[in-house]
Amino acid sequence: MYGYYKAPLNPLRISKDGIYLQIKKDGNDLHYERTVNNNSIEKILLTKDCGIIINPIESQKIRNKVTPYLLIEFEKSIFVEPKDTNNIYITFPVDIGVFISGHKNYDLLDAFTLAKEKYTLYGNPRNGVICKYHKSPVFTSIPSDVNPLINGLMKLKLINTTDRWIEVTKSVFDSYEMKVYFNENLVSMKANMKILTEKIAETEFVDSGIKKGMKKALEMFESTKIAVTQKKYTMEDGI
Amino acid sequence: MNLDQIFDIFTKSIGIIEADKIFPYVLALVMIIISIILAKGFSMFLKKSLRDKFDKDRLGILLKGSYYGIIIIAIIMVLPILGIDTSGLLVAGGVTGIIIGFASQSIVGNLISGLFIMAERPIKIGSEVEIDSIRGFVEDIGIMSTILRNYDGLYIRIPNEKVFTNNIINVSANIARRIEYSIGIRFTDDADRAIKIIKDLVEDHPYILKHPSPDVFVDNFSESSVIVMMRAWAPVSQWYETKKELLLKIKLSLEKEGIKIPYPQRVVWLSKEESDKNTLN
Repeated sequence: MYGYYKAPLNPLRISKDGIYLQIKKDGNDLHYERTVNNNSIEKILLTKDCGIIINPIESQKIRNKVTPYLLIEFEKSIFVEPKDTNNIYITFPVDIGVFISGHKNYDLLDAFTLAKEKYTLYGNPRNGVICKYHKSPVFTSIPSDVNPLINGLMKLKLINTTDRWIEVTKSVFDSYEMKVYFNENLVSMKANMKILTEKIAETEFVDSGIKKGMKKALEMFESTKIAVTQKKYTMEDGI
Repeated sequence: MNLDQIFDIFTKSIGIIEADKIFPYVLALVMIIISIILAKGFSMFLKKSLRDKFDKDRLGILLKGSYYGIIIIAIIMVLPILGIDTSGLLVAGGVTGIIIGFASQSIVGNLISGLFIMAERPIKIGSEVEIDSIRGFVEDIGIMSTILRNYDGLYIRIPNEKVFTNNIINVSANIARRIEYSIGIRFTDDADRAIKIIKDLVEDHPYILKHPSPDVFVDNFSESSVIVMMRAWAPVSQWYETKKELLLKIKLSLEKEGIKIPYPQRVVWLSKEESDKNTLN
């Protein structure tokens, strides 16, 4: 489903895993229609023809503007050896972006998700942050059964800089810095989690896919021209 | 006229003024220059330390006030050095000050409160607040008053003294807020089933936060119903919508499962034998 759909788009019909997406001619213009989980949206495209790019995007519901943070809670906690570095694989919820393209430019037309939406609080109500919540199994190698329309796979490098065994139960990321890579069968991200103390860690994304030949997704924040300055997120309320 | 002649005239002119007469003028000039430097330094210090606490316009007023205030005080101090008697000015100023002080007590109170509110910042523009039983959104925080827009869209001006001395509830200060429902079900209904239905709805709702964990439990037995309490947290930006939506969902889901919210009721037992005796008596 992911990819670039070139003009002419009349008609374009995509129906997959509960996603119904259609672009058809409406007079001189185009009519965009999308249905996901009984939630429909319609838009008029004032153009004779254009291209459409369907991409996984940063895990962020920009239309609700609830939060830019993503908290992934591990189904099983992980113990990391002192002064050691390990890679694990966890899932993350995929948001799908539909971009309209033409005249050497593109912009976000629509965004939706098939993943369950849930939010949580990291820290306390006064100084904490609201995060998008996702519970993930933990894998030590790349699993084969991840649906790229619902979940992506993150390769997380755990770097324990302390002299103690550290238990890790969750990871929090700032989605403005997400770097999503994809192919037909997998959506992926790479990130590092540097454990500084028993309670504090630093997370950051790595600009690379987890397999060779993966394509970098269009960045929603790039298309909406949001300036990103902060690159790391410091987890100060427990790991 | 050659250079020697000019120097001659200048020397004669200086000679007319005695040294002890020049000194106070020089001293006054030096004091005013020092006061200007001090005022400049003080306003720069204020600018640095209050830059994050005040908005640009108000900070500008404060800086100008402090700058000119210091210079005026310096001028008043300098006047006696120049032989101008300020005792009359001080007496007149004192009396005027007392009169103005009494007359403008509330104005000064509002002004000082306004400065404290701006420095302490218990509320911000756009915050949802309750001040002195008035609820609404903060539209503006002025030097003298704070402007609210209540839920009916009305413009409400509250003097800053009132804002400062009253309890302020800032609804949007924290990022998460609790939702609490007290739901009555019949004594004949299955309370466990009702709790499970509510828990499922809470779990399914995206904006009911996973942590802090929601809590659903039997809280009390009232005269007509078993009270099931639900406590959960939502992002403050979604709190109102979530509260409305979830309550309706709970009502519809409980009804669908045959669990009803009872009317107030009283059971009256009538004993026929006793009733007959009362009639005979």
